[in-house]
Amino acid sequence: MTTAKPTQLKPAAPSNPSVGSRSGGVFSRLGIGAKIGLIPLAMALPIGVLLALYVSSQNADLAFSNKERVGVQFLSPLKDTLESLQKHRSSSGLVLIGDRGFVSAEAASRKAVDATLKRLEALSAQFKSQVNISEAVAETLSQWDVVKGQTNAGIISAPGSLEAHTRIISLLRTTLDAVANQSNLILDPDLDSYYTMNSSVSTLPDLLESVGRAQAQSSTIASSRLINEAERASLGLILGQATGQLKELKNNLGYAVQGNASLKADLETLSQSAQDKTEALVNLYSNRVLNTVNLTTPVRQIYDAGTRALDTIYGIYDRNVVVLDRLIAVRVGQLEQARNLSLLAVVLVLLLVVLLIAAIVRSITRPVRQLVEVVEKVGQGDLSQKASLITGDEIGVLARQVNGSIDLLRETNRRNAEELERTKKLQSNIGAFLSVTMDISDGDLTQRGIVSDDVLGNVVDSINVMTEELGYTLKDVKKTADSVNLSSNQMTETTEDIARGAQATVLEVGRVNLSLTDISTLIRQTALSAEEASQLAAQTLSASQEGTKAVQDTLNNMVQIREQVSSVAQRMTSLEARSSDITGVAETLNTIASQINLLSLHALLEAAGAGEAGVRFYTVAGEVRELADSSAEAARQVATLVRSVQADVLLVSQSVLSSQKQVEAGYLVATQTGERLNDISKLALNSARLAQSISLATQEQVKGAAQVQQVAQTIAGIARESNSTVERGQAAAENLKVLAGQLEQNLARFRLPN
Amino acid sequence: MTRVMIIDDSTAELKMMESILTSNSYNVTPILNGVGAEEQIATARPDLILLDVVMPGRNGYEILRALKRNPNSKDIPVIMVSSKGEDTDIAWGKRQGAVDYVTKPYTAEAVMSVIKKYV
Repeated sequence: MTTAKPTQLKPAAPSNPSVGSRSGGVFSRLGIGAKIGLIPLAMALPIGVLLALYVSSQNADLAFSNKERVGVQFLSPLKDTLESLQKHRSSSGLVLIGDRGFVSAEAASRKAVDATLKRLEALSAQFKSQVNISEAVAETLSQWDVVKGQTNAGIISAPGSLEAHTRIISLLRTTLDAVANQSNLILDPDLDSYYTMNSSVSTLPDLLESVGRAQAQSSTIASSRLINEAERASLGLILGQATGQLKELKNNLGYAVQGNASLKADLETLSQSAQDKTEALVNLYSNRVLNTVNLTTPVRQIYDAGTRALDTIYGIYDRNVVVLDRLIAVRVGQLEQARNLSLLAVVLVLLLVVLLIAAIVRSITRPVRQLVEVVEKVGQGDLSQKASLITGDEIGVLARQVNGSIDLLRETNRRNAEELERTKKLQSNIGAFLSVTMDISDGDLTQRGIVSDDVLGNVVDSINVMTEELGYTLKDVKKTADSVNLSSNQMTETTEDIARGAQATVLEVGRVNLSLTDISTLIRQTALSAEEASQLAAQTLSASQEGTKAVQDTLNNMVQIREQVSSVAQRMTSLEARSSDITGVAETLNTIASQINLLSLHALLEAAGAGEAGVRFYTVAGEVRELADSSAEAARQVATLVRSVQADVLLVSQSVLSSQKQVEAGYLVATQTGERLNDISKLALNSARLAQSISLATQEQVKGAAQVQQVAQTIAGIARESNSTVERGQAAAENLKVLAGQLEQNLARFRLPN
Repeated sequence: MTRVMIIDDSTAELKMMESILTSNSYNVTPILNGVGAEEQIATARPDLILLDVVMPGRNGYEILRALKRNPNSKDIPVIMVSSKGEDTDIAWGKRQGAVDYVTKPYTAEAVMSVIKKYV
């Protein structure tokens, strides 16, 4: 089984949206002004298209009207051709029926037809691109050539000629319609020009054709002086048509005047003139040709009347064309003017728009640029400037916000500067305080840190308090150390005294001991001697009974005894003196012990005052005191014992003295033995008794001496002990002194408050 | 008339406090700077002391402690008047023995309301 390793998710790369990212696409590098400028540019495209469409529509109207004018140019030549053809039709018809009076008219009109057709041909060639009637003109020319040839050759009948002419004229009419159609004349948009055009393109040609046909037919009838029914019907129809067409012409012109009052003078004159001539002609032809059986009116009169009427209508046509041309020209002018005005208006509007946009752009970019300058300066750390252009729009809000931010930054900077100043001051205060703490740690406890008004102040003061308190405490310690020093000095001196005393005591006790040993020995000897004396006395007693030899021995012994007793007496005196000395020493010991006691009391008090440091010394001092008490007690006991020894010694001395005397007396008796052997036994007995008592006394003395020696040993022991204790005390005092000295030395590094 | 001693290193502060107290019928003794102030206080024994903290030579806390150590002056109430206005400053001042603490800048009303608590 495989365990799927968990996909380790790589941490997304930290994105920094504000730095380096360029959003905004292709326009990101453009300034705001350019961007805003692009907006109308973008809008200018459809507007431009609309304007172009508008102008082009105006241009189209203009082109439309201009094309109409081209068409108008064809009207008079076409009419002229029509006119010449009509004249030729009438004249050639008359010539063909044999009326030679019209040959010149026929020739003139034939030339006129040629000329007008030529002109028409040239015109159609000139404007072929706009109005294409070349084919129709060519057809007309070819038909004309046929008719002209037939007419010249006289191979055509008068009605045939009439028909052929009429066909050509009809062709011309078609051509005229083609011109009207192609040149937009038929689509003329204005009332006046439309009806004027309609008159020129339709009504007047129709009227002309009716009048022309009426002239031709009437002339032919008048020339033949006969009229058949068909001719009558045809002419009647033609005349009726002419009357109707005249009415239509009047209507057309009336509509044109309705559309344009300024045409009234011109067109009403034309209308009236056309009416007068046409009605006159119609009346003439009706009365003289159509409705008469007596066709007497000369052909020339009939023909000329038609010609006059036609000429008048031709004139009307020409004037009508002039009016039409003028109307269209005016319209073209107006259209041109309108187009120019439009262009001007467009240009002006565009100029205005450009200026307006420039103003708007400026009104946007100026504060933005200023804001950007200010922000850039802020970015460089220069807060001296603020946006002064405060507009009422979002940029104004932005500017106010930026100004607010600058104020904030200024305030922050000011605070930072203050904080920095405070920090600097604090650092300086800390520096000064550190220097003070160094002085304090070097032992100058009179130094105090400066309590500043920053956060350090209280800390400094707390150290000040500690330093102050430490100073006062150390001052107390120093005072105590001084007094301990003084006391230990005194104690050392005192203990030295005590030691000296103790040593003297030991020495003295040793001496006493030695003396006592001697005394004891002597007493023992005395005792032995006494014993011996006792035995000798006994022996003397027996020897006295034995003889003189014994007396001599006794005498010798007596001498020895006398010497010994004398020596004992001397020793006893000495023992007495020594006893007195011991008493003195014991008293001294007692005094010293009292002093030690007193000193140790002092020491106790001082040790108690020294606190912890004095605990050991306190114990020692206590022990010293106890020992001093013991010493005193022992000294007193010594004194007591010595006194009893003295009493005993005195007794012994007295005994010794008395035994000395008795020995002396015995000696005297012994020397007198020879003479008084009898008394010897008595004396010997006495001697024996005395010796016995001497022995007893000396035994007592030995006991007392042993006791004295014991006491002396005790005293010596005590004195030694006292000495060692004193030495310990002395050592302690020395130690104390050393410690006090060290303490003073340690305290010396502190500078303490006064 | 209640006697009040003011100790401050600023003549302006002294004058201002003096005028406030005088107008409230106090007998005022202004002392410029703290050096030697304790002796004057121990001698004069005023009823109240207004004491600045930050002063050259001898600061208010030192003077306050010296006053509290001296039996002649330890019972005189001392109010600290200082621009050091942090809580720790006030706590420290009271810890050193001040009865109250007025922070500069002060108003006459504020100062008087504190002073009247003690004299």
